Amino acid sequence: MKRLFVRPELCTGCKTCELACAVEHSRSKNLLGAMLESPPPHTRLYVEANLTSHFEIFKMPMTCRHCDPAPCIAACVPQVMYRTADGVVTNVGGKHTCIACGMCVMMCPFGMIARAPAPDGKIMALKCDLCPERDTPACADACPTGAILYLEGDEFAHQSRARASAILSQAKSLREATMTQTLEE
Amino acid sequence: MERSISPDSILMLKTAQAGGVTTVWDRYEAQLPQCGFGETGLCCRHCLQGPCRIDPFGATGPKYGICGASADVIVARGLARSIAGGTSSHSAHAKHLAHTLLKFSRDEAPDYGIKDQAKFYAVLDRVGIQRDGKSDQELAGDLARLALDEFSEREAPPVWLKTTITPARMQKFEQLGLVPPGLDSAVAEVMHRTTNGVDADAVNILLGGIKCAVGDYTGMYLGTDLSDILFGTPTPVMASANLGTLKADAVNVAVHGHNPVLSEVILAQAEALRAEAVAAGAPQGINLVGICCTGLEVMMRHGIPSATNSLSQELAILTGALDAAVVDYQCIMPSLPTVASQYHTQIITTMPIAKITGATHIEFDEKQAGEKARQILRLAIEAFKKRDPAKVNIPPVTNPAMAGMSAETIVKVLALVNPDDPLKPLIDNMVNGNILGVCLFAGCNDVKITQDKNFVALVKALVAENVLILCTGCAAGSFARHGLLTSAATEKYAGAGLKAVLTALGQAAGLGAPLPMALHTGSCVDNTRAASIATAIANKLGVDVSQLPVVATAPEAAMEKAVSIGTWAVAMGLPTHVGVVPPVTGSPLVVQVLTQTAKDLLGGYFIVEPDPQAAAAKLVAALKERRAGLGI
Repeated sequence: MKRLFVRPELCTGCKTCELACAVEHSRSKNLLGAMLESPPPHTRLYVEANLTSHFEIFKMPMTCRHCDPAPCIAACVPQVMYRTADGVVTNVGGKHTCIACGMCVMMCPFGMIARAPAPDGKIMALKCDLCPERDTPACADACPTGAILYLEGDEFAHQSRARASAILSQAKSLREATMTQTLEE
Repeated sequence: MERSISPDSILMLKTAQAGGVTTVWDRYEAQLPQCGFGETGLCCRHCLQGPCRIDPFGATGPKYGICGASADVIVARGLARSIAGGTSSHSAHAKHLAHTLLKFSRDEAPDYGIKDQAKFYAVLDRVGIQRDGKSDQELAGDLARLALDEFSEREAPPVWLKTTITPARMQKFEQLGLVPPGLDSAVAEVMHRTTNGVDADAVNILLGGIKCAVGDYTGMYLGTDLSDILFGTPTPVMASANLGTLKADAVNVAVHGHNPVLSEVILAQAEALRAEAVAAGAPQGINLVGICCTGLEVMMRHGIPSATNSLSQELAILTGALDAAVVDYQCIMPSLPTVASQYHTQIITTMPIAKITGATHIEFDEKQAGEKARQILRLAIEAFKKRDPAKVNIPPVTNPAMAGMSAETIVKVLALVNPDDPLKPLIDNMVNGNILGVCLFAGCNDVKITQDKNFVALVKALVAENVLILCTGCAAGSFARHGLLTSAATEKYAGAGLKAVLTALGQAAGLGAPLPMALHTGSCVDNTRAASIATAIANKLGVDVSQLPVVATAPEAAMEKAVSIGTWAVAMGLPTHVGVVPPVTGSPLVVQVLTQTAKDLLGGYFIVEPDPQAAAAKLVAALKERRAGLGI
């Protein structure tokens, strides 16, 4: 299955992903309409920032990892949270209804679940559903810098390997140049 | 979304796609999705502690900026600064003309003079300069100095404001504190009150923005006056439009930007260099065309064709036949040299404050205007020699267009029907319902809207309802591209009442056909021409402009200048439609002030409506409301 991956070095912290996520999970599905809704739509991913030096801030959109096994599923006493056939961890569309107990909120190691009103007003556990009505989740579509990617797991790793090997290929030519010099000496 | 409905633009966009040339439409797509905080106006970068953003959902995110500014304050500050940006553009344009007039008075601008003495004297009388015993050259100096003084921090209200609006409007501005002390100080005041820690009341900030926009009106009025004095008040002229006005067998030079100070001199020298162009292999000599408003300036005064307008400026290069684009300032895409690098086209910048990396810079100055113009044209002839015939692909699209319908010209045409009381035929036809009202079309094309789609749909809907149309700037350019500045368009699209009036006026003017469906009133700086007609009608009837069935629209607005023009149109009392949602939706309060409270305060208000049919219905309703108010 495809999953959300993040390249934090590309994140500018603009939070466009948060807006797009909230709009996608609104009733009207457009920004102007969503702004007028009550309750307001809620994002399902969060841009977090940490000061790493006096002038550098590490920014990263935090997304649900759809873990396997998933602590939120294990913690869901009424058995609302479940895994779909596509591997999406969700509490929507299953056999039972969320009672907003918040156990999943407490168990998620990444803090990716919020207890808040859904678009219909019901308080429940709100989390990423990978935008079932879209080919690509709204956050990945919206990211202006390509920091959020929606890829098969091995494709992301492949891209990382390609970048790493490109760096190493430069090292190789440098090394060869150095070796030649050494031999000439 | 389709990129354009203009046939010449559509053809050139195919050329761009085939050649892999990036245009404004591609760059727009690369920007999508655009930042929601910017779209709603909820981003503030006015201090170094920011940027701050307000959560537009009012949910878990911040409700205040770091300084404590609310969404309302941040949105209002952003809008006020946008108005200041527009005002400073028009003011710079007007000051440029005033300096040219001053240099003429000092014998430092040999290529300029008083072209329209009647208007010169009329303006001198209006602004209160005594003429007796002084030469025109001395008077030009007096007028230029008075004009330049308008921009400073004055003790009395700006002369070009006080003497051009109704007494009731002036009184209202004074009551509401909307009279700017000077035109540049109005801009400076907005910058001050919107910086960190000054004005933090959204309504008060908006009033500051409106005050600045009143300054914008004043500077524009002044600019148009001085243009007419230096270059002649436009009179009706038949011209043509579209990219088909470029010629395969001529050296094609586009004047692009805004100020006639440059384009008039280029035009004056083009004929002198004809032999050089012919010798270079261009049997038709130099073919001057216009892009944007400096093009409209020479269109309305000399019938120079309008090749295209701001949004599609890059497409002129893609014809492969544009040898040079000479630019001054405003609305000139920084991308021009990049696009031109794939062709032979010379992009020539001329203003010290407006250079573009990759362009050739020939600094223009009034002392040696003719010499500089010849230098520029010779560069174009040199470029022509490098033109690649294989790349020449001029779209076979041209439309006739009548231009030059200045306020003076409109009054002269009306005087042919009633010499003693020229405005009476217009007023009578508004009273009897032949004309429902008047709509001024202004503003830009905007890449967010299919080019010309809103303009064409809205104007057709309004003329069918017998609304008399004035147009300026890119609106005029758009109508010209679609053959709507013609008698044929009147025959085809106008409602029966409007058609009867335009036909009678056309017959009186000796056209043998109706006046064009839309009256080309000038470049975008000339919107005050339309305002002056409205003021004259209001004064004659003893009412204020805010009572007249007159509306304005910028259905494809893009630039800060459109924001400031729209704001002064509201200040003058006009219901003003905008077809692009401006970045104010983050503040319900600001939206309410602009669309509702303004109506109570000023009579004018904004109507935001992206759909042209719905916009037409709202504008017609606004006109009918005004008519009901007047009991007609």
